[in-house]
Amino acid sequence: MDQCQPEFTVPSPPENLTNITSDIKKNPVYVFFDASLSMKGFVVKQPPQDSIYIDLLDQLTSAAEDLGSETLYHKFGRKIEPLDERQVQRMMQENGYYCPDTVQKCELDNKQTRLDKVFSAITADKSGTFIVITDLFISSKDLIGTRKSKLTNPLKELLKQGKSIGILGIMNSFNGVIYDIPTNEGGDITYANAKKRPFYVLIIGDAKNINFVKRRLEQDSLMGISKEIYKFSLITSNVISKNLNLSNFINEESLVNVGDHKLEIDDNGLPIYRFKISQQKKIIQLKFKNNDFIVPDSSGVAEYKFDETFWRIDKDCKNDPGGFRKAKISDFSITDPKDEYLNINIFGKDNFKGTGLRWGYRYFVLANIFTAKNGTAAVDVFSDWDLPKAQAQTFTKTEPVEFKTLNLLRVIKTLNFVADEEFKPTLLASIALDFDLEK
Amino acid sequence: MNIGRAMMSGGKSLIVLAPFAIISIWFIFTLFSGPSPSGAITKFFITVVEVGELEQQGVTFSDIAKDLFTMAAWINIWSLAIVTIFALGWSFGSHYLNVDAPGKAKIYAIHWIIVSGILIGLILITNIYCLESTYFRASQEVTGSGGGKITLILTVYYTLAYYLSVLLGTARFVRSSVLLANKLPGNI
Repeated sequence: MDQCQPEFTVPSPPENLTNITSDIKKNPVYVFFDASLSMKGFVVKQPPQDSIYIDLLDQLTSAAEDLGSETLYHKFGRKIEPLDERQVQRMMQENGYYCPDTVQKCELDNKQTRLDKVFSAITADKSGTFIVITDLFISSKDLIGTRKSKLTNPLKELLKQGKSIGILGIMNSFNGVIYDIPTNEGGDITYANAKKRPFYVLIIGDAKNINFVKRRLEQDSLMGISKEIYKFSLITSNVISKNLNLSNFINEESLVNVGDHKLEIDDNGLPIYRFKISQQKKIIQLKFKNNDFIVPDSSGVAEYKFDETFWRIDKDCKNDPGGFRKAKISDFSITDPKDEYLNINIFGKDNFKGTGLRWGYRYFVLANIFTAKNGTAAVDVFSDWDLPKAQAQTFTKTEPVEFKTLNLLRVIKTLNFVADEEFKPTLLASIALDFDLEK
Repeated sequence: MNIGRAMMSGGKSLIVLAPFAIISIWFIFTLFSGPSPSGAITKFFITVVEVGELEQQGVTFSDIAKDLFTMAAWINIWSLAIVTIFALGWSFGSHYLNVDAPGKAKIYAIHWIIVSGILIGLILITNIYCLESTYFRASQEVTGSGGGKITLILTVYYTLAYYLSVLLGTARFVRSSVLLANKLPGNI
């Protein structure tokens, strides 16, 4: 096959991708403990049930110390208070959540979970990593109007800077009272018969730091724990960790439905597959492993889009005075995600014939593949533990042993929506195909 | 005796076929050399291809014209060859049919219809073969209706050439089997 090819430009690969490598640059780590009274149930022992909470908090503080240049601890309820080492230890004990009867200020403070205040504080240090331990039990009134804006606006700012939010949920032994369960009549009730209930660790910062903390926990407190009681999801505005052109993931095996082919990488790093293909094959199929380029545990990619062009020329291109004819059709490929793979079907929209390709000619295709929309995997992961407001009273009346988290999906959807708002299409790969179409 | 008459019939057949063949050969040469871009032939072929689809591919009619004309030329070459063989074959062969057997004269019409049917069938097959499934890549550019138009015109043209040719070339005693042949004026 002659080496003549059309003139084209390839977009530059993105510079700011979500970094998931273990190359850690030390910055401060801020740890926030939810000090609301309903958290007390996680530290009160309930033999013979094992509580992961205390052990995990221990591990978490250790991981935070290793990750950060300095680690600053706080507790939050109605307001945020700094904690010293002794007070941090108290957060792992019952007395950390106890208010003497006379201290009205404390009483007021530990009846609220003002996550919005924590999120506002986060924006003060953009280089830091923030770890929030909470039951995420957020009332509906906190998810509308200005209270919702107070939650989302700081996150928008962080996500815009390429930061991510890791949500680690653990179903844990619980021996306490769950407050503020909304009723259908408009009031609220408490529930004290739950033996299990999930708590959450929100890790906000660079994806690599989130990964560090998660890995540390998985190597210790979470080791051997089934996915039924431990869930993780990463919310980020950019779920792409690697551009395929810059990594070595575009190789000869990536082109799956063409037997004899050759892969050349040009001076600009553009992979060019050269081959002959029968019109009967209908499409050209490329296959990539999602794990090679999607941030692990993230929402994934719901939609991809193509910026693509193809040219036609005589098989003997040097004797074709017209040169490469650029087609006006610019939308002819589709993606077909299957299990852990992403299939890219070039000419998959209408196949060779439907797109107007003729056998007996040579074609050159340049396909730039971008992400178009983030997925919803992060939301789906936690759906089992969600308790919508409308079902809260009915659910409580069933006397459940394993309690759920009020408005959990609403909270995660809100976070995901913020990430979607900051979403920008990312170039996943630029690939060229140079082929003779045969009958 | 039969050979002389058969040669005579073949000659008559060739005389009628000649004008059609001359037009056909002129057409074939014109197609091979490339017709005038603004001429009637080019205009006709533009009507049988999907120009809009070509434009979507970034291709113009002139890019595919040479391939298209070459394909059309070969359809004509094969059609002309088939017609010549069949016209001369029938004109010669008609002298060797057994006309003396009583009550069999009308059966000769069946012979003629079968031969003519095979001829038309071969012309159609030639067209379809070239327009649908051969190595002529230009066939892909011809629309369904365009292919039908080409097939119809060439089938009518070459069938007419064959009919007029055998009209004169068929042995006189068999001519009644050829449609209208027994009513030729002037006792030809």
